[in-house]
Amino acid sequence: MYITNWEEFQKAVEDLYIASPELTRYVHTFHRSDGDLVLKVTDDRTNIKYKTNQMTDLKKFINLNNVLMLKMMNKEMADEDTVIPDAVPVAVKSAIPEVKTVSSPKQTPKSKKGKKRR
Amino acid sequence: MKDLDVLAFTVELGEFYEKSKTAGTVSVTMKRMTAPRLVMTSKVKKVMPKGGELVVENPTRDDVKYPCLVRAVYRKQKISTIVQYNFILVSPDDFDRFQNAYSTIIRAYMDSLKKKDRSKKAKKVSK
Repeated sequence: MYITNWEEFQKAVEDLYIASPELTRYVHTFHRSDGDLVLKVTDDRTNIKYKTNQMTDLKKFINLNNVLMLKMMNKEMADEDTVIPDAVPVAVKSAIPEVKTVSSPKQTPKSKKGKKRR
Repeated sequence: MKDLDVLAFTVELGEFYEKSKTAGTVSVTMKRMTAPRLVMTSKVKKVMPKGGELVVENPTRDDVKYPCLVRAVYRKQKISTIVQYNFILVSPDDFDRFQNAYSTIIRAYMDSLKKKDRSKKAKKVSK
C-alpha cells in the first residue's frame, strides 16, 4: 500500500483522519543507517504508507507532522504573530553537535537562494 | 515505558537518533487521547492527564481539545509523552514547544537522506 506521490499521500491521510479521528494513528520510522523514512497512517481498517529517502521531503514531512497533530488535538493553527520563545533548552543544543547555530535564524524567513538554482 | 514531559521527551528522542546512527530504527507514533483511553490512563496512574477532564466530561462537544499521545521506540527502549492544550492564551503551550523542539531534532538528525541530484541538471544546462 505504498503511495509514491506526496500530494496524494497527504490528501489520503487527511481523508482517513476525517473519516475516523478517534482511531487513526500516525507512525513514522527512520533508518538512519539506510537513510530511509517510512510514514504510515492507519485506522486499523485501512493503511496508507509512504517511503522516501529524499531530503526534499523532509520539510513536507515536518509540515505534515504539524498538521496531523493539530487535527489530533482538534486545535486551530496558531497565529504566526504569537511569539514562541526558542523552546529548545541549552542542554539539547549542546547535545546536537551537528546543528549549526546559524541555521535556525535562516529557516524562518524563506530564503530564495536555494530555490533559484533550478 | 518511560513517561516524560514534553521537552525531556524531545531530548531523549534526540539521543535515540544519535544512537541509531550505526544501526537500528527509531519509530515515533502519534495518536489522539480519546475519552476511553484517558479513563484507562487515569486508573493506571491514579492521575488524569491534564486536559483530560474536559474530554471525558464532554463526549459530544465538537470543539473540545484532545491531548495527543506521542511514543518513541528505539530497539528495546520506549519513551512517551502527552501533549496537552494549554488554556493560557498568551504563553506558548505544550504543542508549540513540542513542535519547535521536535522539528529541530528532525532537521538535525535526518541528515542521511539523499540530497537532490543536481549533476544531471547541470549537464542539461551546459548543453
